[in-house]
Formats: sequence, C-alpha cells, structure tokens
Amino acid sequence: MSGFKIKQSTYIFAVIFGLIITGAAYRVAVKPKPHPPLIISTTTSLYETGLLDVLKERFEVDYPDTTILFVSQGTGLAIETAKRGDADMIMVHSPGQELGFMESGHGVNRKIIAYNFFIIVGPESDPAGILGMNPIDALLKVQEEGVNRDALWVSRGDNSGTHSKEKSLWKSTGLDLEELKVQPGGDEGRHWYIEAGAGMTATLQLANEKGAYTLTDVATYLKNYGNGNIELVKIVNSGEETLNVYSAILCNPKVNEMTNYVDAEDFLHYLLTDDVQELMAGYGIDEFGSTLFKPWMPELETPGSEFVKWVEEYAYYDGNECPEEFRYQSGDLYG
Amino acid sequence: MSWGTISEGLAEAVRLILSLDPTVISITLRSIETAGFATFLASIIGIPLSLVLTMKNFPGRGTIKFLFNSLVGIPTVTLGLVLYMLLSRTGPLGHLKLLYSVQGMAIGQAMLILPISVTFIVSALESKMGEVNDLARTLGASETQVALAVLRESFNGVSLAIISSFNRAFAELGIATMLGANITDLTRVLTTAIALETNKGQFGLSFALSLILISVVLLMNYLIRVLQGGET
Amino acid sequence: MSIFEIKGLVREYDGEPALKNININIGAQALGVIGKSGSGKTTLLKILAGLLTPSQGKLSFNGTEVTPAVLLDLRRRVTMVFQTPQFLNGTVRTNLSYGLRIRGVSDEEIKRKVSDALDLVSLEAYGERYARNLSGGEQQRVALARALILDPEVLLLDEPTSNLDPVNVSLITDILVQESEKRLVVISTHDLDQVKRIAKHVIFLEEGIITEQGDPYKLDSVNRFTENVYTGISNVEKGVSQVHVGDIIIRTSSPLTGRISLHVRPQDIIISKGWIETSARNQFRGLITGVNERDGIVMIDIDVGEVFTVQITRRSFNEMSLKLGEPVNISFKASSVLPL
Repeated sequence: MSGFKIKQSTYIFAVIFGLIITGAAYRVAVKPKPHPPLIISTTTSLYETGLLDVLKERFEVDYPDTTILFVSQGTGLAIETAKRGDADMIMVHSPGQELGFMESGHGVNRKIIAYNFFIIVGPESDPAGILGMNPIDALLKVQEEGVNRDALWVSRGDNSGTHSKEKSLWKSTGLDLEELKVQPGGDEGRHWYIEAGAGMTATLQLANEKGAYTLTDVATYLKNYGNGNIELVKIVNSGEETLNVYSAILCNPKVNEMTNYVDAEDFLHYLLTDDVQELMAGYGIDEFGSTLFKPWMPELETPGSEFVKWVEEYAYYDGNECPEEFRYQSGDLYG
Repeated sequence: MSWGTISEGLAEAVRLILSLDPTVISITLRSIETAGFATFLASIIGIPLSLVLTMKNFPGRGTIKFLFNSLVGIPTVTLGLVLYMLLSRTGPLGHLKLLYSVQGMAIGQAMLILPISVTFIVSALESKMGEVNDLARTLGASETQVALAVLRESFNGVSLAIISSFNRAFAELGIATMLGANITDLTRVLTTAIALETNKGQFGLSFALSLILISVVLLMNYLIRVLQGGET
Repeated sequence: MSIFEIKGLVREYDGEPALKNININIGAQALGVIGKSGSGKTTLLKILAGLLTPSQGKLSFNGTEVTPAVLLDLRRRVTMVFQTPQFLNGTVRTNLSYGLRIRGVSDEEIKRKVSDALDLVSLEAYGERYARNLSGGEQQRVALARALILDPEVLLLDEPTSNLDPVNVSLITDILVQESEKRLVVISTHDLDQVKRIAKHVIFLEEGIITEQGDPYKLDSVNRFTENVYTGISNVEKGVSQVHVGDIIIRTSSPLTGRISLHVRPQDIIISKGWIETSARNQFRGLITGVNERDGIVMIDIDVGEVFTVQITRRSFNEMSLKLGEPVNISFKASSVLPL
C-alpha cells in the first residue's frame, strides 16, 4: 500500500479530520450515562424564566444523587411527552388540560405551586382605547375596533397554556371564537384576529410588528421589553380573568415501570417547602426588574382572601386541587 | 427590530467568542462530538455497504441504491419523530435508554446521514471502478483486494462524502430536538441552542452560536475544496 | 497438452452475441488474433484472462475446466495488457509493485524485480515518475513491464501498440518476440508486420467466429482482413509510383510496377473538413459511411471511390463533430503506403 499517491496537504487534512472524528466517537461512546435522572416536562414560558434551572441547582445540592432534566415544550406536547412515559412529572399552567391528564390515568397528586397573571399588551397608542379596562370588556372592545379596521389581535394559536387561557377569555365574552377568526379586518383581504402558531417571544414580536394586542405572561414580556425587542406596553393588568396558575403533577408509576417516582415525589415536596416558596417570591428582580411569581403556599394561610377565591374558582376541580381518585400514596400532601 | 439590534447582536457575538465563554465552548464541543460520532458510525457502516453495492451484482441492488438516493432528502423532523416513537420509554426500544442523551442523538444523526454517505461513496467508487476493476483483477487481485484498490483510488471522493455527511449531521436540528430535547449541559448542541436563544429573544447569544456553526461548516467546506483540488 | 481448450464458447452482451461458437485449442506457440474492430477480439482475450465468463461453452486451462472457483487462480497466472493503459494513482514503482505486493512478495525482492522490469522496457530512471503523466509510449511500456514482472504463464495483449509511434511499436514488438520464447503470448493487433514477427499461429475473427487460422505468412486473410487493402496497376514515373485502383490513384514511394496490393494503416491517415495544403501526396474527398468505436478509438469508414478506414481518438472525433454522411477529406503520405 505504500507509495500510493495523494497530495501531501490533502493527506494531512484527512488525517486530522479522521482523528477528530475518532476522538469524538470515543468520548461520546464512553461518556457515562447519568443515574436514572428525574425528567420533568414543562412549558417553554415557565422554563424560559430561568426559575427552574435555579431550583434544579439547589435541589441537586440538597439531594446529591439526583439529576434533574427539564424537557421544555409547548403545554400540549409536554403533556404528550409525559403520557408517553418520557417524563416523571409535569409542571404546566393549564388546569383544563391538567384534568384531562389525570383523568386519562397518567397523572397523580397534583399540587398548585404558584400563580401570576397574564397581561394584555399592545401599542402605546392604544388604538382600541382599552387601557385599564378589565380583560373581558377589553376583548369585546378589541373585537369591535377590529372589524372597524382600527385594531388587531395576535393569538399564539399553539395549544399552549397561554393559548388555552386566551381561548377561555374569549369564551367568557360570549363571542364565538371560530366566527371571530374569519371576520375581515386589518389589511386588505386579511383578518383582525391573527394566529401566530408560535412561541411567546415570536408572538410578541409579531404583535410588535403589526401594532397589535396580545395576551402574554409577564416574564416573557418583561424579558423582551427589557431587551429592546418590542415596544408594546401593558394595557390590561391583573384581574380574575387573567389568572395564571402553575401546578406540578406526578406521573402515575403504575402506568409505566420506568417512571422515577421516588425523585419526583421528593421534588414535589421540595417545591412546597418554605425556603423554595420564598425563593420563588423574590425571583426575577435582578433580571426582569420585577418579581414574576406569587407562591401559593403562603396564600393558604389566609384562606378567605380574594386571590385564594380566584384560584379555587379557576384551578380547582369541585373545590379540590386534586380529587381523591387522582391521589396515590399522597401522605400529608393534602392536609 | 432595527439595524442597531443586529449590530448589537453581532458585537455581543464577538465578545462571547473571544472571551471563550465556557457555555459556548461546551455547546460547540458537544455539537462536534455528536456529529463526529454520527459520522463515525455512518462511515463504518457506509463504506463496506457501498463497496458491496458497487462491486457485487445481486437482485434488488438497483432498488436499494434508489432507496438510499431517495432518503437523502428526508426531513430531519420526520426521522426524529419516528425515532422518538421507537426510543420513547414506552416505545419498543425504550429499554435502551437512548432518549435525551447524546448517544441517542448521535445514532439518530447517523441514520440521517447514512443515505448521504452511501450515495456519495457509491458514486465515488463507481467513477473509479471502471479503471481499477479489470486492472486489479488481471494483476491477480482477489475480490477483497480489488475492493481495497477501488477504495484507495477513490480516496478523494470517499473523503468528500464523509466530510459532507459530517456537515449535514452538524447543522441539523430536527433530530437533536426530538431525541435530545435541548437539555442544559446534557444534550444542548449548537443548533438547538440557537433555536432556543432565538425563541427567547437572546439574539446576541444566538448570533454568536450561529457564527460558530457557520465557521465550522466553512472550514469543512474548505477541506472539501482542498480535496477536490488534489484530485488527479 | 494445450494450454487453453475452448469448446462451443459463446459470449453475449445484452442479448447480442460478441462471440458465437468458438472452438480452438491454444498451445505454447505465440498466437495472433486478427480481425476488424468489433469482431470479438477483446472479448475473447478477456475470457482467456478470466475477466469475463462465457455465456455458454467451456474453457479449460492446462486441462482444468475454468469455473468460478478457479478464476482467481487463473488470473494469477494469466495477465492481460489493455489497449489503453490504466494506472493506479501513484508512481511507476507503485504500479509495478502492486501485483507483487498482493502476492505477498518481500519488499527486497520487489525492489529487485522492479529494477529488472524497468531495465527490460528501457525505462531505468522512471521508477519515481508519476505514472499518469508519462507519454503514451512510456505508459504502455510500463503496462507491459507491470504484466511481465509477475512472470505470468500467459501474457495477453489487446492491440498494445495501436496508437503508438513507430519507435515504441518497434521496441515493444522486440520485447514480445523475446517473451514469446518464455511464455505463451496471445496478441490481438491490426499491425500486419507485428503479427508476422511475433505469432507462429494466427486466427482470424469475423463477427464472432473464427473463419480462418494458420501460419501468418500463408493466410489470405492476414492480407485480406486488414482495412485499407487495395489492388491495382502501378506506373512509376520519375520515381513516383502511381497505382490506379478503381477510380482513384494512390501515390506510393515503392518502385514496384505492374499489379500490386497496397495497405495503408488506419492510423496513418488524416481527416480534415476541407481540402488542405499539405506535403502528403495523397488527398481525397468523400463521405463518411461508417463509424465504429471501441475503447476510446474511433474507426471511420470514408468512401472516396474506394473505402478507406481511418483511426482517430474519441477526443478528436468529438472535437471535430464528425457525423455519418458528412463530406470530409482524407490525406496520407506516399511513404505510408505499404506494399503487400
């Protein structure tokens, strides 16, 4: 084989490349796989606040044998992932879909962790004149002005928690959403109701471009506003209708034997401890200029408060955050 | 979005790269390793397979070549979806525990680039077969020796195929997303990180990672140019 | 015992037979294979070389039938030199040593043999030269050396000197004459002189069948087969002979008069699109009546009153964009006309 001819430099490059490839192969092949990790399926809007990574760090310090992996997807997909057995617990913010998850037998031991509010943002000029109105009235006005070609609305349109919330808001207005989607408005030949089919940041940017209103979670809005990516402003703030409730649900170990139930249970309890709830209360000031979450556990100390009533109204099922039939060896989780 | 934002993003990109930000470095290395492993697998399967396809005549050979040819353009998400179904913990191959791991991603990418490897390598071998086949045989070479001779003569073409395959694996998103889920410090690679950061509106980091990705691809393409120049 | 025994050999390509029912025993005497392009010469040689298998019929080598199992053995003892030389990427040395390497010969011995082989073909200093950069004649000599270095029992050559200049033709023919004493040499060629010098026995292939065989000096076909053979009356005036063949006059430098037969080698004739000013004494114009290609060589039949077959490379053919039915000129020197 000696003496067969290829250009010197070619040979050198090829050898280097070959070394890189084999080196890479070795490293990948030999890399030790993690201890059965705790896989938590969650939504992008929650994950991208960065809170979960902070919690992960602390948890792994207190429980050194565990590794947490967050799989961040849209709510619908996150629940699907859990149903397929590829996650050990979910953290989402869509009570309707959460109930379905438990009813299908896949989820047990649901606990509410925290809450905040969606906001409606829009152009500073407020063409529909809805500043400060309550959410339902605001939406009605947007629809009116929409068909007058004076206002536009952008929806996420992706079955996410935010989208679910938006849909329930429209439901509360009494209008038929399917009808609204096809009403003419905006530019020639278009509609005033625009479906983005995208994540929160992309949706905000679209709304920004079009000078439209949209429903958003506080964290994503603050981040993009702070970055200078958008110039939309808060138009409609908190209200009962724009409540956003985060819960965690464990995956039923009887359904899939590979579920890491033990670590999931530990993490669920961890989320409810005073320390962690306090951490959540203060989270966000540095990066976003304002806090993002209101922890749920402290609220329970004043059971008659307005917030508690709102949450029970919106995120409980028949007066219960987790009906008996969906509990599994729940111990002292539910008092 | 204004030009100002773009230039800010670029400035941020340069800063991150020059400061050798450890996150950026680890993501880059992981990208290279994963694609590297995938290329390794695709090569050790692809080269012998291509030799058989080129040198041996058997029924169905044309069909197999056609199949590989067609699979070159398979959308990565589609393949990613199929593999996800297989590797899911409740799926038929769930017990392999390949989901959410770089090994799983590498294997998925290897499947993605195997058709490309085979198609290109077969093409390279066939172009040299004519010259080498009769010559080697009349000089007394056995089948294996002839295969080796054809392989040696096609060195440039085969190298080209392998580097192109690496590029494809390196720059793909669908499989890394479906099988890796972009988990921090575990399965996050350049492409998934770029997608994430873009989604989050972190354009500076997004640009930085994109710059790096493009640089690697350019370097590989340069290698390809050199190889083609060395063709004699 | 014959070296090769062939019975009922048929070889088809895509349903078309290239060889139909060949029966012959080949002994140790050097064998010439002659016939027009496309008559099946290359196919026959490749079958003897173990590079092609017969579609029907039987081939035996040294008494043993050639089956797929023994093909490798056959190819190790029989080596073929092709009309257009092919090379491995590398130096002359690399190419020469390939066959020895795969037989597991030691490096030292390889070195020695390479040196001897280079001497044999008068290319002593060429060891480190890049094979693909050599001239046509040098390449073919390397190809020959590459075959002989393996000391094969049988050496097959497919028109080895068709495209070479007279010096190389002569050199190679000399070597082959010597080699014919040491091993069986089978050579296909268009070159009359060459076949007479090397071969003791000649077979004439016409459309896949052997139509004549025997001593090369005695066969009509040796004279008849070759393209471009003409018979006419020669007048010599002022040292230039003019031969009236049919309606045309061919000028030669031969002093012979009276009825003679002439031959012009296809590769000695030049094609041009129109009339050219040339020192060649023979120039005619006619239509292209046939085009035949094999292995990068194109044979063109041109009817100028008599049909002349001209040999050019495929490249030239493409560059000139010649087509059937096209009018062209042919020219050749008087000294290229060879009396038979």
